[in-house]
Amino acid sequence: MKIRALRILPPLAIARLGSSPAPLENYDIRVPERDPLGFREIHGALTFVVDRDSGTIRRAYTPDSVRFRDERGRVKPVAPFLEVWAEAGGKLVPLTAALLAGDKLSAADVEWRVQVGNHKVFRRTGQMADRVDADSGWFSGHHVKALAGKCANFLPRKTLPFGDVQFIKPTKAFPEIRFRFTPGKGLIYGSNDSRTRSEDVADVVYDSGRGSWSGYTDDNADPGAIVTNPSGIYANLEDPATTSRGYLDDECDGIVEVRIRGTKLAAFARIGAGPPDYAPDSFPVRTIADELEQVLLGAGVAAADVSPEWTEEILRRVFETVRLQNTTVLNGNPVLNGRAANSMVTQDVRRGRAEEPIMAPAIVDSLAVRALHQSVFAAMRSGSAAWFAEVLREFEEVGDLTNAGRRKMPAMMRGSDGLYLALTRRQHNAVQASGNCQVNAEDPAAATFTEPAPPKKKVRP
Amino acid sequence: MTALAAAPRSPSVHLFGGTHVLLPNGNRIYELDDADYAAMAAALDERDESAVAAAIAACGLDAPPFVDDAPLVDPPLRAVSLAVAQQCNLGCTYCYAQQGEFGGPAKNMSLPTAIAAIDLLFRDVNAGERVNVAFLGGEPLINRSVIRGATEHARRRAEELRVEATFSITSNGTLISAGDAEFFEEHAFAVTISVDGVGAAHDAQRPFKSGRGSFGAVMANVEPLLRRQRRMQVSARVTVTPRNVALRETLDDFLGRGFHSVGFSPMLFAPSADGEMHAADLERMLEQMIGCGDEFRRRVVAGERYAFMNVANAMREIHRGTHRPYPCGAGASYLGVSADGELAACHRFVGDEAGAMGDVENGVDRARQSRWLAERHVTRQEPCRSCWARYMCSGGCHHEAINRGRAACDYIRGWLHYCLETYAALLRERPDYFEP
Amino acid sequence: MSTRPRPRNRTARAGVPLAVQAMEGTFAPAQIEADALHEQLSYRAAGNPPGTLPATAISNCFPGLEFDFRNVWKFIFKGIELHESDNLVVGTDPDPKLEKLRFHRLMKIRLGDGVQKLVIQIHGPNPAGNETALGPSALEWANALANVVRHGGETVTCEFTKERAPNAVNADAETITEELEVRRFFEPGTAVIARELVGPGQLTQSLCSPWQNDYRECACYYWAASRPDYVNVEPGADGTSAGDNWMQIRGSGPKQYLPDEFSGPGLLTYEDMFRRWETVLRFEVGGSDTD
Repeated sequence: MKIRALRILPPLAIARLGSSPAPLENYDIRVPERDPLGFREIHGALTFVVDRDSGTIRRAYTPDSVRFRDERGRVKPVAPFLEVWAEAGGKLVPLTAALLAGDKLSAADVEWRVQVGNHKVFRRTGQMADRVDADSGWFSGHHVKALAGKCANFLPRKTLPFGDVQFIKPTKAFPEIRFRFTPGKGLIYGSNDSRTRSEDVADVVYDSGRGSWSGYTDDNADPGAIVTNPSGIYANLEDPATTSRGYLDDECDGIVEVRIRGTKLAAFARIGAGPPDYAPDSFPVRTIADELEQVLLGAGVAAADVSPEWTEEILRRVFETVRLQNTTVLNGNPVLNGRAANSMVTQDVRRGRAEEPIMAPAIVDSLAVRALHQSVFAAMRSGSAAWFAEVLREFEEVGDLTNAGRRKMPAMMRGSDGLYLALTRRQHNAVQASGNCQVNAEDPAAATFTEPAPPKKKVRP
Repeated sequence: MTALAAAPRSPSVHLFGGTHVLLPNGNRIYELDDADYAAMAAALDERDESAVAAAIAACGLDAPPFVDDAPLVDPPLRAVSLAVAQQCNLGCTYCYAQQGEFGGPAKNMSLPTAIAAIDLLFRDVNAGERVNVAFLGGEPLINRSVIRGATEHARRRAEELRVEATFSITSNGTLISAGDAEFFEEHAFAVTISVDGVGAAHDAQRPFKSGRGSFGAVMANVEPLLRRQRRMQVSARVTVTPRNVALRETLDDFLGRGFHSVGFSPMLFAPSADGEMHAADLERMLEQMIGCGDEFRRRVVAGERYAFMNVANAMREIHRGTHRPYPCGAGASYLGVSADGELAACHRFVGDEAGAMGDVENGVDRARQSRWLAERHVTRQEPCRSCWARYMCSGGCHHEAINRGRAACDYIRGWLHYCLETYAALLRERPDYFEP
Repeated sequence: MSTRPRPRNRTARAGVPLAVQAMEGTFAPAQIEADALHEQLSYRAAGNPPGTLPATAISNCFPGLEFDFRNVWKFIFKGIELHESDNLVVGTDPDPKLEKLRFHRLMKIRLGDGVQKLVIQIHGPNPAGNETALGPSALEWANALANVVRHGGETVTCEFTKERAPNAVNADAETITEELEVRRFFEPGTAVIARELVGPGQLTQSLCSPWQNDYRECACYYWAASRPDYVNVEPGADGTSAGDNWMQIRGSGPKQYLPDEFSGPGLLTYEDMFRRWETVLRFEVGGSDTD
């Protein structure tokens, strides 16, 4: 079957930093059947052990348990695989050596290129010379390829390691065309001036004689400075002037491309490296998957895509976030010498709102809030939670700081605009349309299948 | 052929189109890939229910029951049909209203009785809800004044309560006047004309009591209504007997005349066994219905309207996933009212003890209603319980089932199977038909 | 199992969301329809733990953890560059028609008969207790542009402030219009974000530098499922809860949550974060320290 096109799946893969040479084992996360609001369970799943010298998958096994750090306490990085899929006959199937052979091609014809960058300094200073970029160039062998970040404002011969990539060599046991990205170790890199403390950094890479990163300050008063929101997030809060120490990290994001020599077949995917997920059995209310689904599928929800399981999942994730929060503090209860601690409440005060807790202070202890979410969930399961959609904050209501507005769900959380969090419109519409949040009263006097009844109103034929 | 494909082999699934599965639990429809379809087909061939269940689970399609066997409890009344005239001027050979006399002396409903029925209808309705008042007979236009008076009364009550009231009438068309046309148009009536085929075929079935044919007179009266339809809709309902199975010609002729839609219904029970459809007749009817359905599909793909009501309704209900344990609202949200003000499960049970439900003065007899709803629930019916179509057909017309049994199961399954295949085809060919 | 059954009518619900199925390991197709983009988007490659999935990456970004996903919107309109978290035009192509828009604000977008406004007014009780307007704010892009983004390749009418507006202005400011083309979000026929929308480095550029700062500076009011706050929670003597602040040094006495005010005795320091983050930050499973 002729290969008509390629894809890399997944189209967006997230790596997570860690210094252990052993990448994190694979696992599945399952909602416990008997306790749908209990903590999700971690079960070992098929894990590949790659021999980095040969580039082959040496073995695959399913671990009994998962440890997030190794025996020396180093965090195991999450090193994602990317798979190449081929379109043949209207369907996508994994690309294998055999499929390539069918088109008189081989794994040796497959080439890769990775371009990643860390532009955090550039974002502040606005200087192109502050961009740190790594480009592997096109390559086709199976050796480990380091991603070395280069920057015009680095000291001579200095690079910032973003980790490495490897084109996995297909074997009989594992014939698919795969690629692996192993992220950086989560190290910090400094500048050659006195703000950098040697114990903090793995290496000094930035040249403070050329670039302005060390000592940089966001100028919040000058709109031309186009500061980030929040601003000053590179510094030491003990320093009232929030000047940058001149530190960089080894996070990055960018593109992985694949192509097949001698053909027009090519594809790309995106990767990024971020911090570990410190509560791996709990998930955020609103995720990047939700954003991508809203773009791909629309804010409107087709009836066939709505399910009670979806609504439950939304509520479950609200619960999972709330369960790990000190709601007493985040409610703005006066826990710090009669005043609220850092929370949405103090943010509201900075905007000019009166300082007061969001909910009645007596009812927001963590255990009480969990119990509340559990009853909402039970109501959903029994189909009697028609009101749930009404208590969700609409996306245009994020600036409503009245008591009623602040008490909508999700409560106490901040959204991307710095105001109160709203779900994506798609999530919101799903809750509204879901069968367990609305009573679906069918019209019992309506027409049946076999006997025509007089139409009650205009019906499209 | 269709009969084989439509035969009930498992109560849990029905395959159609070579690609789709219907799960009666919820009347859910999925498109499967070849492997999953083949696995289900194999399990069905084996008649192995546990293999079927496993195939469903393997696809992730198992679900808790959408409908249990608990009967409806105290359903609110939302529709009544008033048998305003129990005498009929036609001598239809099959008419269930026994020559319009319901087996007893001919009677007209009085206005106070009609008003009492309407007040009963409005008693428990809330603002923003909708109710329907239907006028039937016999031939209802014999009692024109009560129709007018009852309609005006219902409009007033509807305005007071901020409720939407809709009106319908089923008539044989012989007595329709210009004044009726104006009245129906003003109140946006859904008018159903019972006609039984074109010309001679019709006349063979619905002679005037004097024996003369009625088709010419009917069409002469109805044509002005057809031209005038804007708020009202005038549809044709064709009762199919062995003598008028040429459905396509009838459909095209009536649509050509301007009927808003045309629907067919097989005559399965008539008090004088005359003209009832038997197995061979139903097979011929099914072929004819499929022929009409094929034309419907061609027209929809071409973006044109073709108002063959049976298949249009089916497309809507299949897409909605309508799944009900009762075939209609009879005895629940819909009741028939006799000229005397007696309540019945529906218009066919007027005067029939089997469907008695109380009276307009004292209201719905809840004990009888509960018994009715328990007995008529589809999970209590045979052979329905093991049939894949049980939440679509839901046991079929109560009156027919009680009086004649279920003689049309193969016809109904054949027709629904055809509708499911048409649905799958239209999803592919004109998906915008379903979700504009 | 091959491609999943596709729901066709309204009662054929999709069931468990794909993102959850991917995490549970029950969505592992051997083949995928070329046009099943949702499936491609949700796909979890063999050997990849759930942490690789976008479903585990937070998207209410202020600034974000794995990505500052707000950056995806900067170049959504051809010819201009928007601030990732404000309705300010921060850059344009070298085109005289567009250069004049620099430091103007995008206030509304007209799409067919509809208008999407991009600015709301924050409001609430002031310290005296009176309901007050507290100032304008731009809506975050993802929801504000949810409909616009579906019109990739088409031109929409954008309303910008008539004058330069370096500071936020109310929704009723006077506007001028400009027709702009919406960039396609995904590469056509695929589920990968378009090349020309986001370049390497763009998705992480507005995050904390170094990221370890964030953990020290961010009080946790939204990321608890990724960066926990309240852990090792038990019922206390009076029925209310007692637990640790994730950022505090674990003690052996009765639990006393220390509200995090960026520094203080008992809390982790910047130095701890820079030098020992792998050791001092604990993974939480079942709400308790693990490992």
